[in-house]
Amino acid sequence: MIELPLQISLEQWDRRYERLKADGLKEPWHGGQLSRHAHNGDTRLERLLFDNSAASLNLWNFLLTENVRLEKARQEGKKLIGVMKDLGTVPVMVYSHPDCVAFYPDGAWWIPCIMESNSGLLEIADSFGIDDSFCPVRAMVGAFATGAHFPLPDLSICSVGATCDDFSAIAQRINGLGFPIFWWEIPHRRPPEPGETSIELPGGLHASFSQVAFVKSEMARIKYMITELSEIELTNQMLASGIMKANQIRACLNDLRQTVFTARIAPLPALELLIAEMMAIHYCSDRDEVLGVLWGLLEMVKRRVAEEVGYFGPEAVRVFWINPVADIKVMNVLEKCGGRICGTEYLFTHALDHIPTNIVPLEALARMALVDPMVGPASDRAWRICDDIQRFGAEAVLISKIPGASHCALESSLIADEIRSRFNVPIVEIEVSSLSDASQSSLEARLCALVETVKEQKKRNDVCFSRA
Amino acid sequence: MPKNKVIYSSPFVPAEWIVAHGLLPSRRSCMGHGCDAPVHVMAGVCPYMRSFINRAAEDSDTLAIICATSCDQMRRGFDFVNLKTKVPCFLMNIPSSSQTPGAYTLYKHELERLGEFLISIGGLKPEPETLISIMLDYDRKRRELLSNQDTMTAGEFAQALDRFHDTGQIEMDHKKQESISRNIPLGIIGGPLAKEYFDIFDILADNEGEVVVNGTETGVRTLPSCFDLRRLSDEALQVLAESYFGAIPGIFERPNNRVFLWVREAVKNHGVRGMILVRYLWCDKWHSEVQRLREWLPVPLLDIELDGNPLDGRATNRIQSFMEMLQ
Repeated sequence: MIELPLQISLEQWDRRYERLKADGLKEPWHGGQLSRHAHNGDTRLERLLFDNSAASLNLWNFLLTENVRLEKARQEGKKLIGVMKDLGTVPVMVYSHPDCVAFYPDGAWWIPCIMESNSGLLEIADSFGIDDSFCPVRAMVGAFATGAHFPLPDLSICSVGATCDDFSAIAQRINGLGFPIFWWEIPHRRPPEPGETSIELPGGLHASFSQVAFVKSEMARIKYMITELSEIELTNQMLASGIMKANQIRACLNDLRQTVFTARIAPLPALELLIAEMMAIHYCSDRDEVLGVLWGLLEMVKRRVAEEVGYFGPEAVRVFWINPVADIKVMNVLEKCGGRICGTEYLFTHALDHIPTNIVPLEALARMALVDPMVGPASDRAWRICDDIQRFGAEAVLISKIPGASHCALESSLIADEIRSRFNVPIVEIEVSSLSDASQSSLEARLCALVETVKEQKKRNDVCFSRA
Repeated sequence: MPKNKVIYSSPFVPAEWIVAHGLLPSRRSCMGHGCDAPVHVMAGVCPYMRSFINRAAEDSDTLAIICATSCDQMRRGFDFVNLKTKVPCFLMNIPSSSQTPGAYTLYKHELERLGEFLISIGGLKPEPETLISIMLDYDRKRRELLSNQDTMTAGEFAQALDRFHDTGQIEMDHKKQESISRNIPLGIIGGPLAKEYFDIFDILADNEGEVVVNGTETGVRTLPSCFDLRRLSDEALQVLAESYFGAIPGIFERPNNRVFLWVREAVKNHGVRGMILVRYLWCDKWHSEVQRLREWLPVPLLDIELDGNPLDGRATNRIQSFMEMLQ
């Protein structure tokens, strides 16, 4: 018998933490009361609702202690590599090297949310001419300028080419402020043309041999840079082993996603699942520890499913969520309105796919990089989303637009069109800023309307069925 | 009207290559109004991209459209043409990390792929001699245009360049003068300046200013360098690639120091006393550089955001104030 799942506040977590400790809770070094992070400035936590399991506590503590791990790694003499934009490819290479650790400065986009208005990062970005017409990832400018939110990397590696303009512009601004960046090219993915050799990519898409070969050569440049920085060669053997470990983490996450999305009753709230999914990108700066965190979560989720306990009951509307949100509180809002997550596409599906192990590592990584949903046409992204909507049985779709992002304005409508052409599910588009409190009531109204629409549809279908 | 024009906007698409395939290139820089499809979305969308795509897709003489990846909104615009119209459309990968050997190879490969596309829409496989002769012709015309620059006003020169980009022809309808009397020498930089905005040259002239350097995407900054004639007969396509991709400084390049160096040189060589940046709403790549340009330039900078509508009284007032400050 396990304790019943319950969403609790930060204050409630403190009391629960004491009880768990008294009952003999064992924690890794990053463990402790969640509220300490709020006291240190992460005040958004005070406004969130959390899953009450020890596994989720471990997840949150792991997430919120990343900087401590980075500082520790630097003290141990490891090289810190700031990886930008590619969302999942280059960290596999960096962690293959025993003396290097990767992190995403892009992650700073959540700092204005987590720290609410305490960070001042957006104001600093403003002062460098990167105003609120840019995506919230502009917080990264402030983080680099102050050096206060993550240790300044020994090397920054950023992908360019088929990327969003706002990110590219912000990274260039950082470069212009005197922070050197190693740029690598990711070309727009296209289907092979007649006469071109076709290569299958993870996830089932295809690219031409020449594109794969080009990206492979870019991967070789990155490999060279890591070797130069660390002064120890990053070998193919190291890369192969790094890919194997990455696949272990991906397999665990895929199991977790599949279990959560297909369970009759949601075994894990949307917020914790979002945090867990994000771990796929760079392991929150500890590749070995992340697996333990995710296994703990998966075990707990499977127990809940087996015992048929969870959240919101089977009547909760199954919602497919597209794009990550700048304000994580909105994940709570969906559930408050009667929805549950049943499928996600947070812009890094390529970080969840199995990386091929039967080819040379650089080519495997090139193939992975090319499946990045941002790199290809909107129709490819829509195709994969539609597949997952069908696979997980989503009843509604929520497209969360990122304010100022050059891609969202255009691709959202194309993705929505494709979904409409294939499924009779309601779709709602929302735009979420870093702190959405001011627009909370209108967001809530939109999400409630989405949920109500599905419930009404279900009622009508039930009536038709019983009449028949 | 026959569908015979290959429409594009990027300066990295060589007109010579299209002509060599027996087709008519038309590099457009006009806004056009009243076209709402295929790009129907407005919020968050660059008005220039929207206008370019919608107008090109609607024009009755459009045989095909070429988009370039150097602008993400243009890359996304390609999706709209592809999914919502029957107009053949080609998306050309223009590498952003332009200062690497791999990027050159990719660009050249993209030219070859573009060639295949042109053949697929009715073009002819070019003979090397044909390509060389077309390249020489374009080279000569560009030189002729540039040599006449000093005898035209900035507006006249912008018109002549625009016509050349659109038709490949040189039509200079100005009254030839020995030298135009210069007011305060100014530079103008930024994204493509649609011809609907050419009145900016008149507004500046009315306020005792004269643009001596047009570094917008439709100005001299994006003209390819002269071809290396010694290598032309052996490797024409390589020479073409080098003169375009190797010589045109783009704001999208990473790092984009070549644009900054170009601007600084232009200021120095032409005695520019004030710089005007024209950028479209939602153009992140120019917008993010406003402050850096201010820090980098030895002269004052006026930043003008274009929203797709004609320049309004506010923009005119700002230009007037800027000119007063320079006097």
